[in-house]
Amino acid sequence: MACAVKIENLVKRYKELIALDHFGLEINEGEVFGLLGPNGSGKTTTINCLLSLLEYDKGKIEIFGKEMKPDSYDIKQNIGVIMQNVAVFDQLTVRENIDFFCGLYIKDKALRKKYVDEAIEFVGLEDFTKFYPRKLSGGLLRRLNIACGIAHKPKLIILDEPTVAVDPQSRNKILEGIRKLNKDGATIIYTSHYMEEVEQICTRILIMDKGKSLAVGTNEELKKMIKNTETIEIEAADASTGNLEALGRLPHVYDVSYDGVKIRVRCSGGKHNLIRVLDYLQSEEVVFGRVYSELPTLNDVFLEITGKNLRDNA
Amino acid sequence: MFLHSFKYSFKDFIRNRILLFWIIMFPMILGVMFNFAFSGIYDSSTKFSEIPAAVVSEGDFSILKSLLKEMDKNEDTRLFKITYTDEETALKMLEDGEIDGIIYDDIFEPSLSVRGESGITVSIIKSFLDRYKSAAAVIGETAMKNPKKIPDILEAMSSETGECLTLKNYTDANMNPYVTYFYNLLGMACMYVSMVGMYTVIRNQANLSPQGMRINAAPGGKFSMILGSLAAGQLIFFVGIVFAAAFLRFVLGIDFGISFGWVALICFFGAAVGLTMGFFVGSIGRMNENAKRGLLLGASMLFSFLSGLMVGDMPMLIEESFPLLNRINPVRLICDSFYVMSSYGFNDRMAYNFIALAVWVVFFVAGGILMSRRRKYKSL
Repeated sequence: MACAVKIENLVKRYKELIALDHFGLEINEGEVFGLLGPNGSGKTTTINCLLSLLEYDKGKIEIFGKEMKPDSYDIKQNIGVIMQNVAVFDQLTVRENIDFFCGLYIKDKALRKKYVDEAIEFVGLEDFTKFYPRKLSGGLLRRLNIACGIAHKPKLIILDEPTVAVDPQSRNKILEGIRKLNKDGATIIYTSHYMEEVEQICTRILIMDKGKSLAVGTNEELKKMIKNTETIEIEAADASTGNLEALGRLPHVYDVSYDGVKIRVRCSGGKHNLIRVLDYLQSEEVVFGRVYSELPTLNDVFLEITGKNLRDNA
Repeated sequence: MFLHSFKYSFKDFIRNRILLFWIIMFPMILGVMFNFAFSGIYDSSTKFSEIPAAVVSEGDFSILKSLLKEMDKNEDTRLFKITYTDEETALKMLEDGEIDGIIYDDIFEPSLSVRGESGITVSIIKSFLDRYKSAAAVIGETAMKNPKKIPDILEAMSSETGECLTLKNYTDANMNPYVTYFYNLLGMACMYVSMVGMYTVIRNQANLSPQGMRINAAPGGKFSMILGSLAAGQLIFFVGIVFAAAFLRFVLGIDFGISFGWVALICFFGAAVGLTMGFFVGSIGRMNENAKRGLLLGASMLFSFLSGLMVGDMPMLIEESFPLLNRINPVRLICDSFYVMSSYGFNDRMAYNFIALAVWVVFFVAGGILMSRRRKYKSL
């Protein structure tokens, strides 16, 4: 599969702060590539360098096999960008905004009209074409933002946190749309600090923090990289230290913690871990309430790599 | 790209009520207030009319009295509204403010008594009497030394005197001194167009707005985009200021003293200076939008203040101490263009004003391009 984007050894400094620290990635054509990291991890800086908007101190960026420069108009022609901040004009209607941004790429008026109509339909704004942005809800505004970025049918679409402050209905609509764009052939770069979204739509994920690439792979590959395979949580009001120590000695259990309300048991590999834990509690007559068993999430991956929660930083 | 940018910038600006208010409506509202404040003052004190004066004569016949009566017959030569009376009555009239001066028609030495020492009416009476005395002295001396030459001298004097005593309207100039406030008002409106220039830069620069990021991520040069926006801004707000000027002229009845075509041309230059000044300030890198807006408003108000918008005598004070400021202040250049055109017509000074305004435009555009030519940013 051909390489759509290649970043090598990228370094970006803001005075003393290193925003990107020898960062690198490769994205193949047709992928939905997720950049996952907490706020301030360098996701948006990476995107801005990729678009040649931001100067960087070191490194190389190639898109579709060509070096990306500010005047690489042939490359830019094939890129669509949906910024974190809604980038539309308040005094232009929905249709005018889409037509304006599409017109930066498509000169032919008839073709542009067709593309604009398709973009409006794609994001479901048919009933709002004459609305001004200030009259749209947050979710509809985000959809307009997306339509402005994809109307010219780019081969590479960069979405930088497109679902921030969006209602669930619009979020689902946006995620569905991204899947459809990918199905139609576009390569997607999707940055977010919402791990559920990234898990849901990305074929490969890069986890980054402090400007560094920490891990990259598919959802499953990333989860296999870590020790944790299962986390069991049990509501128990009066577990003793002896109980916790005994739980820690059970097969495949590598970590037990207790906050006075819940016992959290982390397991690495093995089968029937939950049954063994419950058998022990019953045998010791420890009173317990609800029981949860969770497979590892990307947050666990992030936690294990960095020692901190992705959510806490988001 | 230029036309695409022009089309959508035009739509963007024409729907921007805040910009339209400050650039078009605000000068109109201020114009109404100025008109309300100044119209009474102008009508009662400044409008030129025949000067009321009294003549106190020793006898029924005098050369001066004949001259005044002769002048009174023709509207072009009528300078005074004369009351022939005795000294006591004349003094009372002068004290009551009914007349501006008393001419004592002494056959040997005519003299003048006036109220106050200055003022245009006093100057005119003094000037008239000085010319009369000088002519009388020449005739008297010639009569004694060479009486044969008297007819020639009288002929020469009659043509000169006729010219001297004729009130000619050399221009369409409005005599109302308060009209300069309205010139200043239009100058200030032109400076407010700077907000449009600044907005043009902000919407097109990646480090200043998300829209600018999207535009810069697209193929094509950004200067054609900026030029398209500037052209749309110039068109809309030039027309807007001309509309405001038309309101002042045709609704409020402010006589600019020049044809409306010239008003439009001066406004065109003024709007261009304002627009490009905004482009220049908007292009300054390390300054946030609010600071730029504050700088532009401050500069607009300062230029207007120095041009006499708030204190009418300010340009004269500057002319005495630092005349260069009057030569470079864009609002002053705009006002002076109105003044010069209405008083003297197109002359060297008017040409200088236009050239100076054009130099400002070139300076602002060149500076703005130099500052905004960057295609990659250190931070966003």
